[in-house]
Amino acid sequence: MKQKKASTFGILSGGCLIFLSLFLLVVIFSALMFTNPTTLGSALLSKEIHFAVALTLVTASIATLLALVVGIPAAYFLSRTEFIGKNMLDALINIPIALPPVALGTALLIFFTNTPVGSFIDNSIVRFVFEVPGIILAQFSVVSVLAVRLMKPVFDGIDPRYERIARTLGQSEFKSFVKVTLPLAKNGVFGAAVLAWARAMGEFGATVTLAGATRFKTETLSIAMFLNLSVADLDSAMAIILILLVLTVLVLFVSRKIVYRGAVTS
Amino acid sequence: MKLGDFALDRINFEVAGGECIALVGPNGSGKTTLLESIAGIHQIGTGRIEINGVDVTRLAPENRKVGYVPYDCLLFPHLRVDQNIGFGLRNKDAIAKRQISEIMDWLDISHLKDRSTKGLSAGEKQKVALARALVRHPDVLLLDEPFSAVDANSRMQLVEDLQRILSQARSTYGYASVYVSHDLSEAQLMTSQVAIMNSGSVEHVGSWEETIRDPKSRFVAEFMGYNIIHGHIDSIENGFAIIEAEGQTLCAVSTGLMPGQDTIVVVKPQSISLSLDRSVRKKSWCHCKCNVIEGSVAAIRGKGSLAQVSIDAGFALSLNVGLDVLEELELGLGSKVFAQFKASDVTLLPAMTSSDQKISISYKEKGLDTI
Repeated sequence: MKQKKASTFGILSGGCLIFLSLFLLVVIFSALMFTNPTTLGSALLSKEIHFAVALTLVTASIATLLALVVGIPAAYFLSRTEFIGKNMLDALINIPIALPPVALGTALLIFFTNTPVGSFIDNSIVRFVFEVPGIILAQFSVVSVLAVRLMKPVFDGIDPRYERIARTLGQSEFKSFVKVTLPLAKNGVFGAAVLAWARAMGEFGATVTLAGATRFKTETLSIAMFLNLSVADLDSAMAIILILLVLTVLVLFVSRKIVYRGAVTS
Repeated sequence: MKLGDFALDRINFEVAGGECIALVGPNGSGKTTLLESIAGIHQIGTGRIEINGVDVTRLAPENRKVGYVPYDCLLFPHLRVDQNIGFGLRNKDAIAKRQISEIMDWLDISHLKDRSTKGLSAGEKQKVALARALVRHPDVLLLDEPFSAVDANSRMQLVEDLQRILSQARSTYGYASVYVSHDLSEAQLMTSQVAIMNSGSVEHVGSWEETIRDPKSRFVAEFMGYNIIHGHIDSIENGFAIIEAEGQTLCAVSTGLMPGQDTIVVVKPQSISLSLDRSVRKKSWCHCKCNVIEGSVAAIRGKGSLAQVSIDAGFALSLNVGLDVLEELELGLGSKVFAQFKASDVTLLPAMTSSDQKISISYKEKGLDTI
């Protein structure tokens, strides 16, 4: 077979991809080269790191779950319904994506400490400021809109006539959604959940502002890394980077496998 | 009912239980929108839809007991064939399994039971979609161009199958059905009644026989593919109207139009015969009052064993002739020819006929009424 000659544009775009991949690999590789295996081993075995891993996994999972509970109906509604002010609402829910997470955390902190409603919630219902629920709320604030952004195109891509057919077959609006739309959207929803979870795992700005950086209390992996860097404990910081790296690669790899398999079989 | 800039208006027909009506019309005339409105997918603003005497206008689709088969079937891709068919059944017990099995046997698709919907042929998909709609025993069955995705080879077999299935189903369960199609010959095979739609309105409702014999408006005549000639009634002689049309004199059975009135002359292609001279070619027509129009062949388009011949006689006349007739008369482009048709086969319409006539045809018992 005659080999296709590469075009200039093809060479340029391929070059950009190679540059990006090399850039990431060089940064990760130089960080890994800096690590001393002995000190890294002891850091990995430390109780602080274990606490941070457990706290991060739990809070990120809860935040992702909450983001899906709210995000799936929100994304579906945005995809299927036309209403006055839709564009404005669409832009509004993008704010947390455009805003620096620190600014979002600051806004949440001000809400819970300087407004009557926020203070009431924080004092009488759930304490968020400098507490673990604050981590979940900070992560949720960042990843919920991300989940909506990622899931809306998934629902856009599903023909709404499937739901209408389901309605003529005796199913209510809710049942049509659960029995038809959701199963058809499962790969996209799963992909959005994985990315939201990965983003929640690495959340720092909003978390540190709302929940603070207290060792063995609100110490997620990214906050533990910050605390260790602030006292120049590079070995512990590197151990955390390694954990985050392994977790992220694992999750992204597995999710790609699942989503790809789903795309092929469904 | 309005949908964006499109609106359904002036729609009034009934279908009796066990009857099947064809909903035909040009693209964009609102056939699918009307069907979806009956199914409850679109809510109508004003008017009333009744199924079995119950006003369902404001009911959600799930409460209407309609079976809807869309043109592209829309089988749920995440479910197997049997799961698709059983989707609308409330229970998933042994009775439901038996119902699914029975309907699959009946439609001769039992071998597809455990298959994914992917890889089914267009005909198989149609049968699965039909089974999915029928298994719930709906009061009304709505079919939207069921053969549009089927290739020409499988089409005739599927038309015959569906004709048999629907006729059995209607006589067993007595439900009314509405069949949307743009293919007139196919619709005639499947149904006894026809409603012709134009720009969101039902222009005509009636039996096929009546519609073919006596089109009630210019639109219906045009849609049926009939020849339309503008003319002017010159005189009435012995019950026949003498019409001046583009320099030719035509004759038709008088229908109450008065001399001096403008008229639209409708001539069915199948009523026209061709000859090379003025003498009446068909012996059975010798004692009838016949029109003999001189013209020349303007176009010949092949259509299988038939050819569509267009004749320029001052106005355009079009008809289908067998290839053998074409050969016998040695017709070619520009050939001089005489078109002949009986005066009794000509329909006269007032020049201003329009769609504003109110059509209301009543049937008894089970039925569907869209107003």
